[in-house]
Amino acid sequence: MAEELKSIPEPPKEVIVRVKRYDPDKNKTWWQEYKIPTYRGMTVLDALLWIKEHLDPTLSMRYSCRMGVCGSCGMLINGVPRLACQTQVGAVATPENPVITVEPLPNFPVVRDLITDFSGFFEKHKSIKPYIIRKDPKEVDEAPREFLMKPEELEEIYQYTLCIMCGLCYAACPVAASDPEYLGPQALTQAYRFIADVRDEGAEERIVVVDTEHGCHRCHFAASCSAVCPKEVDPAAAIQRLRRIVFLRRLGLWKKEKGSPVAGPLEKPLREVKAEYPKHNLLPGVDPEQQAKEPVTIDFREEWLKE
Amino acid sequence: MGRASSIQIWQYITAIILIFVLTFHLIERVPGLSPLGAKSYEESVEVEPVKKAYSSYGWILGTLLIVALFHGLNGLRGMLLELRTGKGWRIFVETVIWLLFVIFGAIGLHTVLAMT
Repeated sequence: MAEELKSIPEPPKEVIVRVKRYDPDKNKTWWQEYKIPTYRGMTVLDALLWIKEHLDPTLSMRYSCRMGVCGSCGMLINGVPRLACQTQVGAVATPENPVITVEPLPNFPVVRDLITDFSGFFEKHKSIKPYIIRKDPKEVDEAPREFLMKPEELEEIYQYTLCIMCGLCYAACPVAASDPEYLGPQALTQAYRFIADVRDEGAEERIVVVDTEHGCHRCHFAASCSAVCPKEVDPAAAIQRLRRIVFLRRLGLWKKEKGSPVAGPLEKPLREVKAEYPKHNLLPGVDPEQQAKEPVTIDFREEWLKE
Repeated sequence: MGRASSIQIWQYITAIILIFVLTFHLIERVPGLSPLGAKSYEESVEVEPVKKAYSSYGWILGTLLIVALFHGLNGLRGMLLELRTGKGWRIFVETVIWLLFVIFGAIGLHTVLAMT
């Protein structure tokens, strides 16, 4: 989880980054240490990039957004699965123990150094059909308007929609460690997220996938998945809710309470482009007639037009 | 192989039954509350009074035996199936578990019936 910068102590002036390396060509694994200078606000990803730039260009890692959104830089930092871009050096290294150990995520095959293979993980995610399913596919493919959803219905699934597929939950899962076929907390959470979504009608298709020997019943409820999630998603709770749904459905007691209708014509248009607005007040290339038809909200202000 | 929820339902059902029969089994040891009429803790664990008491409550002991065996062995099955994957291993584990259930169930029931 991202920490408040103010609460993080100043990092030691120098830290030793201990990286678990892997060379696939030689099939060799070894530990390598780098001594690097630090600064306040330095993240573990910054430290690794500093190493790559100044000390060892052969060090391999995966990263993209550097702001905890893409989920690419998941690593085992001091024994805990974390996003390297969100982990402050000052939070994991102290003057008494200025050593940071960095390893590839467990439960994933290692490709090189800190890079792991996510293809199996993504396959599991794909297997639960992570998209809105309607009995009539036209409602999705040719939807004239959006599906309706009440705020409280969104609240039910909202935290589960925040998943960035970083794989930290899967890396922390003790069941995934012993059972490679286990669907894992990420896929199961997403299965629950879509089954609980009022707009979705594909619960039966997903339950067939999760109600197996390697599905939701395999979970031991260690809850380490929830503890390491950088987005505060609670996969352990989602899996327990999913188990409840599967159990009740098996007894014939579960039924989706309500579906979500496709929204009808709006009582009030989203916006009105006044016909009297002169063309020169629109951006170049914008057709006012076309713009009037498109449901895009533009906050025109009268004072802008007077200028 | 059926769905995992089928066997899980039995795991839940046996757990619920265990709550009742184990409660009965533990209360037997409490003088005054004991449905078997034990006057003291010592009396409740001596062979002859227990044998005598179970002549009328044998079905509870039999239920406890079968339900606890199923519940425990099913838990063991789950753990073993996590150790390794593959169809062969699953068939092996399930065969061994059913054999253990039948053997221990038969020995236990024979003992209970002999008492009653």
